Amino acid sequence: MSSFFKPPVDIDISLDDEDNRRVMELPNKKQGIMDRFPIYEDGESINGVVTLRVRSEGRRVDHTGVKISLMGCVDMRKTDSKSSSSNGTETPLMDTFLCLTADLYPAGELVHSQSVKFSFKDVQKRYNSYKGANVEVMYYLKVTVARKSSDVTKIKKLWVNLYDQPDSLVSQPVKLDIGIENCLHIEFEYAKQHYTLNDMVMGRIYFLLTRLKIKHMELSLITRERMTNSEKLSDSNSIRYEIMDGSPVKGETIPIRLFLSGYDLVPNMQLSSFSVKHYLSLVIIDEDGRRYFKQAEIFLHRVKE
Amino acid sequence: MYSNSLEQANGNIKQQTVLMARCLSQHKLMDAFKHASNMLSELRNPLLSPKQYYELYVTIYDTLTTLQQYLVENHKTKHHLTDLYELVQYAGNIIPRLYLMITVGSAYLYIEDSPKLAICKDMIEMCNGVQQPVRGLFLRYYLSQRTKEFFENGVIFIDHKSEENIDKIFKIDFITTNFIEMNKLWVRLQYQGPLKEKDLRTKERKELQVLIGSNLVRLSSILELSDVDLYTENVLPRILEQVVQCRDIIAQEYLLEIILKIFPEEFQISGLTKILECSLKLTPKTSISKIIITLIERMILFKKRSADYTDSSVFNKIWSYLVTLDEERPDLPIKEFILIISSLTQLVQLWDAPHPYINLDSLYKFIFYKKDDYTITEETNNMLKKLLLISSSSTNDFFGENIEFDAAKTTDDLYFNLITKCEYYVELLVSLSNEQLKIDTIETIFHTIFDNSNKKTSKYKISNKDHLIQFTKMLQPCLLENCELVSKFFHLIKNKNLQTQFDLLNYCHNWIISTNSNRGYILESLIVEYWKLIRKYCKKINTKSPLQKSKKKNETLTKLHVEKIDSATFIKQFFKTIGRCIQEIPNAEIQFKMNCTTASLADQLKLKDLSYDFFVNAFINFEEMSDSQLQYQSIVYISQCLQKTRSLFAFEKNGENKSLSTAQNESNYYENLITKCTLYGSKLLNKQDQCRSVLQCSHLWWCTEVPALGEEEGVTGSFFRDGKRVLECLQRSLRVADSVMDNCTSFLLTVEILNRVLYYFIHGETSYVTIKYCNGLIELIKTNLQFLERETRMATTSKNEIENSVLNHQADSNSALPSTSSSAEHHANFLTCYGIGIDGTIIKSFNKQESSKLSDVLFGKRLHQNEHDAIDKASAQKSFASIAKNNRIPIEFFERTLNYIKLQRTVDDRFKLIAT
Repeated sequence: MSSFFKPPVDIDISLDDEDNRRVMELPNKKQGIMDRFPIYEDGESINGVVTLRVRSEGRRVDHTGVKISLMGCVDMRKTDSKSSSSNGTETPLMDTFLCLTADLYPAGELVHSQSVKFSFKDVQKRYNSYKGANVEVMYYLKVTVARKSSDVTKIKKLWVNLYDQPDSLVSQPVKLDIGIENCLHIEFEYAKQHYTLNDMVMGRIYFLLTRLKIKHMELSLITRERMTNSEKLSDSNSIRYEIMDGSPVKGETIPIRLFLSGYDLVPNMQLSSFSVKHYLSLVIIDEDGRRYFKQAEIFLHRVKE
Repeated sequence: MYSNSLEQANGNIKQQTVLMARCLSQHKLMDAFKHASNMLSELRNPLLSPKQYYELYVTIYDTLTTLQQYLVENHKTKHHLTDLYELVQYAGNIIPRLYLMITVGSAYLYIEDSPKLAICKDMIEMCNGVQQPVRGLFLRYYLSQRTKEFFENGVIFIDHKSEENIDKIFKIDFITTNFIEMNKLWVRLQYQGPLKEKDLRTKERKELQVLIGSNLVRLSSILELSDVDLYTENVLPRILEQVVQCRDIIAQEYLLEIILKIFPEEFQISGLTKILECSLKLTPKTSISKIIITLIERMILFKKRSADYTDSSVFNKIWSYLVTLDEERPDLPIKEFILIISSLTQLVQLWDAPHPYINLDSLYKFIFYKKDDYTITEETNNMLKKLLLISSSSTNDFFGENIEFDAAKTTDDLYFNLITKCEYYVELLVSLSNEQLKIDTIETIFHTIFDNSNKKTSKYKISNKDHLIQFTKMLQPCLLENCELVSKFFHLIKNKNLQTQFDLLNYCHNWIISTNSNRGYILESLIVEYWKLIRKYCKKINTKSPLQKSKKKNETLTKLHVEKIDSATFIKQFFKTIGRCIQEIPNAEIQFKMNCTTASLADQLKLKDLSYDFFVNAFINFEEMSDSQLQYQSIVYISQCLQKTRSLFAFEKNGENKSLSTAQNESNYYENLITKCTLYGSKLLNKQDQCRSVLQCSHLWWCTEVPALGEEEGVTGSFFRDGKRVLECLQRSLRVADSVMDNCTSFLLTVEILNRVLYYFIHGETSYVTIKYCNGLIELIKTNLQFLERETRMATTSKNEIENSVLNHQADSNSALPSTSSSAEHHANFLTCYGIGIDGTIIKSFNKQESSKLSDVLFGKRLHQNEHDAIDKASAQKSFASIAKNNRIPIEFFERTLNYIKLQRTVDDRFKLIAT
């Protein structure tokens, strides 16, 4: 009985040299395991083999055609549907920006297990793969065995990392001068505004005036995901890093050095539907537990090493 | 996170240590780091006191040492330290992160091709992240400890081996930077927490001071002696800048002390100016003296070690500093100045030896004027006293050796020179506002001088007027209080030129007169000095030829000698001065003695006129005396003086007038004087004294030999002897003795006269003192004795009676006591005459009844109260002893004389004719 509901065909998608390909690991909270996605970059061909296996040997399976699609889409379904519907705006939940399809077999019937190669040559990939709080940018291969009754499909997710050109990262240092009148006056400076994911943040904080009894000071990296239409924000504290213990006096300079490569960071993203930005947040916590902070935007880039 | 209690923290550290070691043995480095990080979290605890923190730190340090060794040993085989250096920095909390970073970084320094310079720079920069004072201090101390070994043995600039200085300068920079930051944190600790815990903070800071000081120790170990310039130009200015900037008393005092103590003396000399300048910029409450004293002590030590080092600029530098200090810091208490000056005097003594006195005087002058700006308290006075007594006020034993001078060796010299050469030393001393303290100080100084001059009598001389003025100025306060001291001081006045000596003594004389002092005893000792002077003067005139004298470039004396009249005038002048001195003595008795002795001196110098005058003065003094006992003593004294005079009757002798009986001539001073003397003796109030005085005066007519003058009995023929006069005296005294109203005393005096008679008899005066006379006298004594015995027999027997009767009343009679003629009659007799008081005294009673009653009471009581027997008996015996003493006949004196006569018979036939 159980086989009744099972699709009559097993579809398996394997990619060329998949075992040696770098993978992106993401935790799958539902199953408590790590999902592994092979990583592709922009312009890279996606080649592989699709194997169709008829579930019960000897049985014929009719189909109206087998095709493979390479899909790229922005998935915003995680967004609270209620809020979007109540707004009355027509927000597309899925925004497909890439769709390439190739036919594998014309209509016919499957008797034996069969393998067929596929190849998407030099595919242009516009966006980085991304999995955020409310939005996901994903690429996947989808094999569809079209049938009169119900189609049998199989999806395999891919991960796309795009690389920026290193020379585009030349940037000015970030300097900020902030304070609370008669209480605190600091200057801080980050060596630059653009960073690669393996970079380190260098900087210093100069205390011009301090009447606060500071307990400690932290540097946070905040990743902000913003939906263009719903104005919905989602901040995630990617890094919390104590950079100072105790209360400095006027004239002290506190060094900042934060290595980024040890953290799973995403580069900045700017799509029509959403954006991912990064902010370095300097947080001062005084002895009474009050927090004082100042954020400065930085840009993260993925570059080829 | 960190534990709540110290015990838990310790437990956790131990546990993590074990876990870490296990991971290391399994080469699970990541886990090892994790455990190390867990352990280091304990050091984040803000509630730990510095002591507790240190305790944890020490344990953790050891554990991290293990980790470090592992890292070094397994570099490249198991890991690369560059990676690890980055890896440990992912630790989210700064304390564990930096400890781990330093551990890895310092391990990396041991690897041959590591980027040592970058590592060092990075580690020290990152330490800035810890601004909490205690945690920051320990972190930086950790950095210091971890880099220590490498800094001592390793080289950072491998390519620059030829230029060792680059390497050294970097290391110095590194340590200095760390020092400066640590000091800032340390100072900041003072202001942590609530204000009321200020004292606690101070205490904690003192506990932590070693951490900061350790950096300076590191510097001193890196710097070699040849790096003096580096020290002076680079290291010292930077440290001092920090010292000034931190504006913290504890830090300033501690750091300067450390700087002064740990760097070698050569550095101190070189950096002297800088240190001095720095001390001017300290916060007002920081003790400048403490620092300067330490500095000076280093200078002293240096000078002691390398005595041949001469650089006179040291004092000048400190001196000009002192002047600046005076100008710039009017707020500074006098105490500070005194302390600095005190130790500076020691420096000067050593550095400017053997002629430190100009500089010393400047110092005393400075403080002399400086103290006028302040109210002088007891403390100030005491400190000034210490300063004047050159006693080191420092209790510094840091170097394990005594900085103080070998006091016994140098100070007496020093005092003498200070008094004579430093005007302001004396000024300062005299200006002390506490009189008692001043006198104590002066006494101490003088005792030091005298104690040592006793060993070598000629060691100190006050030979010129300037010195004398200094001394007298100083002694002024003692004139009233301590005559002994002043008298001793006169002995120090010595000048070979006797006229100068005379002037010096005259100066003293005027000095004494000008002050309202206790003149008597002081003048007395001054007169003694004049005597000495006269003797010396005469000795020079008599013994030395003018030729020798002129060689001795003693011009005045030579001149005097050539013109003898002049010398006589001088001598006369001397005596006149003495005469004046004597006049000024307020006490007649002393005047008398002084006159007598001066007269004797004049006589010995054959100055009979002067001698006569002084004797006459003595008699005038005698007349002023009112105490008869004193008068008697004076007669004895003057007669002794007179008897030894020779010059007073020399005139007669020179005139070949051998008939001594004609010596009643008015011009014979001697005759005059002795007659006067005898007359005074015979007029004394007390008969006994009269008798004895006249007896004594009899010798005035019987001159005896003075071996010192070369006289010898039997050889020298010209003794002044007048038997007739002697006999007159003896007769006179016998008459007086006879008239004494006390039998017993009379008897005694007669025996004394007999003794004297025998003396003259033996010595050849037989024409007046004849055998017959002797026999007559003995007969007289014997007759007197008979009467006397009869008179006192009664009393003697009564004495025995009392003893017996007392004993008879006892149950067991004590037969040990003598009982000669006890009878009832005697007993009755006794009862008539004597009774014994209850307290044991003898009561003489003529009322028979009353005395019987008394005795009844007495003896009745005795019968009933046997327990008191012993006591009463003792007191009774005591009373008999007193009776015997009062009424005893001194018969043994007479018997002794008789015995003497008997013995003399064997050698002198004449005695056979004297009946005994």
